Amino acid sequence: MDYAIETRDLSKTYNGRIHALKGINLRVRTGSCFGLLGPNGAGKSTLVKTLLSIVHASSGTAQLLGKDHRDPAARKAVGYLPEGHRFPLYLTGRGVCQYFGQLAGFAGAALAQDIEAKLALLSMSEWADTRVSKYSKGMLQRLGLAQAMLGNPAILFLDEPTDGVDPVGRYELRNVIRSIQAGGTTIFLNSHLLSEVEEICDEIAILHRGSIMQQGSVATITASVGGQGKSCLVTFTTSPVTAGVLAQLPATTTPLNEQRGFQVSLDSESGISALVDVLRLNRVDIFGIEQTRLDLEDAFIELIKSPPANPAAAPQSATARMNP
Amino acid sequence: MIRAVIGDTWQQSKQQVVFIVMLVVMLVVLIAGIALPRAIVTADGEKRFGTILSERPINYFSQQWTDEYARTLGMGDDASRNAALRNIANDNTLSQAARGEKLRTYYSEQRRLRDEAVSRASGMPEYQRGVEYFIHVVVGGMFKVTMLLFIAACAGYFPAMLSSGAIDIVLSKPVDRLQIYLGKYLGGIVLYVAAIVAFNTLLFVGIGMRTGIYHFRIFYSIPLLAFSAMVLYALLALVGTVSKSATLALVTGYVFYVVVDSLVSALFNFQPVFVQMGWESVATVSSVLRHVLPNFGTMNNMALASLLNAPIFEFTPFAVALAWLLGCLGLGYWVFNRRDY
Ligand SMILES: Nc1ncnc2c1ncn2[C@@H]1O[C@H](COP(=O)(O)OP(=O)(O)OP(=O)(O)O)[C@@H](O)[C@H]1O
Ligand SMILES: [Mg+2]
Repeated sequence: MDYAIETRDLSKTYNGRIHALKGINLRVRTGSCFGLLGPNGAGKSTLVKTLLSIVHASSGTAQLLGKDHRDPAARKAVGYLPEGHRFPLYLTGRGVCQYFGQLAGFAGAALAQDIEAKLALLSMSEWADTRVSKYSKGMLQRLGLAQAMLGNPAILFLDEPTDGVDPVGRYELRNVIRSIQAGGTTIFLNSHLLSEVEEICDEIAILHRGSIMQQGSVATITASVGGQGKSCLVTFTTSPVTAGVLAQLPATTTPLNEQRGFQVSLDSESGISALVDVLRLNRVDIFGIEQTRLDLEDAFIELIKSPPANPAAAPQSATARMNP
Repeated sequence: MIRAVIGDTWQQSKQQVVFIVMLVVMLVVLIAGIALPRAIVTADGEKRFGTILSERPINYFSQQWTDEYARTLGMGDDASRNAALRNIANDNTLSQAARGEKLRTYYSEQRRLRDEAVSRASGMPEYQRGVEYFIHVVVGGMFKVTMLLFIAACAGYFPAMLSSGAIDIVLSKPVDRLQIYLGKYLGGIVLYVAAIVAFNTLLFVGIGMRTGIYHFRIFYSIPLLAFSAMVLYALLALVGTVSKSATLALVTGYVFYVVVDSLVSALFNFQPVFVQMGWESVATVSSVLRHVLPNFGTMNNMALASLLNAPIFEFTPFAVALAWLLGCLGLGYWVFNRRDY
């Protein structure tokens, strides 16, 4: 089959009031890494939970590996790392894997072996017999991933997998996710971290207030949001710039507050040197030059700014942007 | 699948102080139950029931045996007894005095039947009756205490499973929700029943070795005791599922097991009095309640009576409890199945 996940007009309304998903149509190619991107409250977790029947869909249909998603058998080859999971504190890392592995229908020596392999893959072997209550946030996430990978599922749902993990841990997790995908597993990744999705996913959908705003590869999405032409945004920190000098700079220039410098959009990075020349010629001191890449992040913010927005949307996207 | 859930319940229970306390209490009662009884041979060579605490034989247990047996026989069939009483009380053709006389006759007839049954049944040696009633006391005491602890231990099983963050992964497994709900339910029951079975088996062997009386009927009490626990746990599971609160489940469990139960028993025990005093409406209320609320006291008595081979089995409390069991399980599963987590 071509698509590991397919939804048709999938909707979810909580308590008859909160429209968390509004007619989602998605297709995730088998073997791809699919990133679902959206600000807090967009409905990312709801979508994954609906696909797994943890939340009941209000209308619409969905298929996992060609089976109706409400059929327990559809979850046979599916792994899931929920957001903000809390494992039973009375279990050890190995105990957690055993419990969930058995629930998934595995048993005996095969399961024990699989557990060892997955714990080793996530460098959790030495913590296997420690109570989960003593784990750090990063260890919990790694254990969660190990648990989700038991039995080598065909689809892996990861809801904010690097949430609360330090940069080194993130880097390691990303490598593991990449290696899982290389093994042929379809990955469905929820995140509000743009950099993360951009780095590991080959296909992306942007979800905002329960609707898919855009779906495609990173390049398609960046391009489709007026990204053409503004490929590079540069911030100059300088001594005060006079109006005369500003007039010599490109039209896309916007001065920073308190005359601390300016920000400018350029067609290409080669324009930076020319600007430096102009500034130095006018004896403006340059304290710093910083280039902000115009990428998915901007596409993302553009997209969620443009729909008929309520005022709450803007601060939300700002928080999303703050994340490394 | 079921094994995983039972295993998990055990893992969870091991961490619970009350569960450990429950096992310890069982162990203490067991040791006392095995250590205390012994045979005392009197000067005239007769074997009598006694304990290690004194050199003198103890009549208390064998007398209690007779009383208990008599009581259960005298209890007869509630429905027919109540009907008879009501007929007498409502018979307007009789004068007040005649009615009183008739009730008195009815009671003395009942007493006569009972005495006859007792004398017929007590062809059993005093020693054996003593041992049997001693077992009755030990099993009954164990059940009363451990049931209270069991309620405390299992009130948290469902809320803990349902607290968000733990249930998502469980639900994402290829298992339908009915299996998850029943698995969790059976997990608690299996542990408790296993404990009761172990207790009764050890008591059977232990007392058998000490007294020479291997009282196999000790095992007859298990199904009804387990059934009581199942009804209560189904109720706790329902409350735990709806409220996700272990505290609320705990309180509900105690309210039913202790308060409601005592109230229903009291009302019912006074029913003949109400009837006699002509308070038909009160009598009706108490009999309605008896057909509506579960009565654990009566069920425990039935369980323990079967241990003495006293021929009582009342259908009403059993049917009411069964209805509660199925109702609670069904409703609990229904709520669990349609919820979003
Ligand atoms: N169980 C629930 N009952 C009622 N409303 C809910 C429930 N779960 C989520 N919601 C609401 O549905 C909307 C979408 O929530 P969801 O958790 O799916 O968002 P998200 O994109 O995963 O956000 P985040 O980035 O914060 O994880 C939110 O408005 C949320 O308040
Ligand atoms: Mg979420």
